[in-house]
Amino acid sequence: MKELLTLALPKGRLLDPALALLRELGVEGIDADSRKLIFTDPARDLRVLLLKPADIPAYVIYGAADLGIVGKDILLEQEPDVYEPLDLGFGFCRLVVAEPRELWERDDPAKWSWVRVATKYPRLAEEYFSNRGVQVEIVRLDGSIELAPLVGLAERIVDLVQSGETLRANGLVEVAEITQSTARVIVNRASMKIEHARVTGLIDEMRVAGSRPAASPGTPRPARP
Amino acid sequence: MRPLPAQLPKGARVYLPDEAARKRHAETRLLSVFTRWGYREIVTSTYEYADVLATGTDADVQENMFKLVDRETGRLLALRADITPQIARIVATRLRDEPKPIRLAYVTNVFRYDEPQVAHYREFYQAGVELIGLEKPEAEVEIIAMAIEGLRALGLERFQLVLGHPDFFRGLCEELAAEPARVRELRAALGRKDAAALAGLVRQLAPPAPLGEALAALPTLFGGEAVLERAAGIAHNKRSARAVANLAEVYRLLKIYGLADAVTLDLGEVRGFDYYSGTYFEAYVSGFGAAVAGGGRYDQMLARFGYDSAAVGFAFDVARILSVMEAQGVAVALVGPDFFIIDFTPDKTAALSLARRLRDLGASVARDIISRGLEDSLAYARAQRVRWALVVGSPRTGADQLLALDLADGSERTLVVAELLADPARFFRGVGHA
Repeated sequence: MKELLTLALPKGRLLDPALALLRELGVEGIDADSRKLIFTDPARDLRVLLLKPADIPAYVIYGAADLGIVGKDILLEQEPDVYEPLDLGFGFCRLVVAEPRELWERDDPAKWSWVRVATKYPRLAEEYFSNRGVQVEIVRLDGSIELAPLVGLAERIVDLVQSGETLRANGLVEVAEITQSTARVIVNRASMKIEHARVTGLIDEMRVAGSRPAASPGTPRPARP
Repeated sequence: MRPLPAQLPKGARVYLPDEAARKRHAETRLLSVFTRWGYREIVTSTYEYADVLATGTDADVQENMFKLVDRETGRLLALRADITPQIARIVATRLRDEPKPIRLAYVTNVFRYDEPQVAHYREFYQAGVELIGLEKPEAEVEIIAMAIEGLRALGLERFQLVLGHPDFFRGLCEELAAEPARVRELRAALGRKDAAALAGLVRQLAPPAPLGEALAALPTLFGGEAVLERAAGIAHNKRSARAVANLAEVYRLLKIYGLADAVTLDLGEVRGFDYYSGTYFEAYVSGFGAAVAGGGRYDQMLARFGYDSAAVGFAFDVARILSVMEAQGVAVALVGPDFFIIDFTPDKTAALSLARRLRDLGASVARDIISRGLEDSLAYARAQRVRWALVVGSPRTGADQLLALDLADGSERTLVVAELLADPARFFRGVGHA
């Protein structure tokens, strides 16, 4: 029996475009609205896992998933020892430093010597500030980062922005961009060697499907008949 | 209340008796393969002067060495982070006049400040070999054959050894003559197997068309023998061409050995130690997410210690081997003592003489020292995986007799103590014939 190839998908903002991509490839049987977290397409010998985005590198490092789709932001934050053969192009967003408008109006980033920031990205935030000779105190949070300055938990935040709408709605202004991110395909090192033909075959299909104009980001597509 | 002093520093690893037995089993199997190929064990010191150790060690491994200060000289010491440079130095300084080639084997712990993951800890164990003084491809083939034999000796199947040659990429980089920073970017993209980024960099650098095509083709140079032909077709500099020719010769010999099926070629792989100068490999086993063994040729290493000599070597990561054996369901028989003697008589003379007699014949014998009921003693014996329990002074046997319980099948016999002492093999098969 041929063993299933396992692909980990991130729940959240990258899930819809990722599912659209899989539909392009003719992968069947994934019901993202059900409570199931694991799906199998026997016709393609493919198993799909739905995971929290930040958990995907761990599954792939250990080979519990052969491949994963995950944002570059998470790869930069975690630096997992995996292959990263394909930039899918969708899920574009930016990691930025932001602060309340009233602070921004009198703030001069060149004069920062010590800052306290709330973030889900402690490593990237630390690296960004320490590369600029700024001592940083990190308040590590898991969600609703933009709340932190409003209640005095931290003056500034480091967080992902897509449209900037969330920042605006919370009275925050972007001060600096740390990095940009799109969705990537990552591959376990052993899987790339032992299942090379199937893994590279799947990546090639994704590359071709992703470059077709039809597969524009976030557009759900009906499954092929 | 003060907490019990039970904390372990990150990356430290304990092997409890069953785990230690599995570890010993794997190490013994591997060492026995090495011995059968004519390798002799060498033991190096756990710590040395940091600058001496650093001489042959890759920069990123150096950064991750455990360091301490020598009380007498104030110099910096380091725990061994890689045994290969240690052995290279020992050969260069102490064994250089020995007839070549020199075949050395080791089973040792190694220390690195790595982030613990995929069965890899900060103290980890390696079983490996170094083959020194042989510049011919037969040397690579010998260690590759040994790696395969080692995997088989451990009962593993569905594995692949992935072979590469760093000089293929290095030759292309020399031909490219780009700034070091751009070469690092190229190498990083290739390390991620990111074909698009690689193509983008090649477009920016705009080398002559054949070189650009060769660089862009790197991630696709993966597979069987056909890879060699394609690689030879796109290698237009001497260094890359030599690398392909060398790999082709190794592959030809592996075919003669009948091992080509276990081997895949990957000229697009740029991982591995910087000190590799020739063919190198990593071993992957189905069902485990990381390499379990690796090695290759490092001809410049000994010269750093003042003795120019060709060398190859490889090592298994023992903890990963144990994980992959578990993943593939390879059973390791965990055996307890052959005998467990329970003596209810006050003077215990029968127990003492039986234990001595059986041990002299090579059997393993534990005695029940604690006074307790028979059932408790037998429960203990079963937990210890004892084969036979011998009960002296049971109310069910005479003064000169004992009860022999076979804990494997539950049967029991009444034996005469004097007869058992006279000829244990008569009553217990295999005892005295080990």
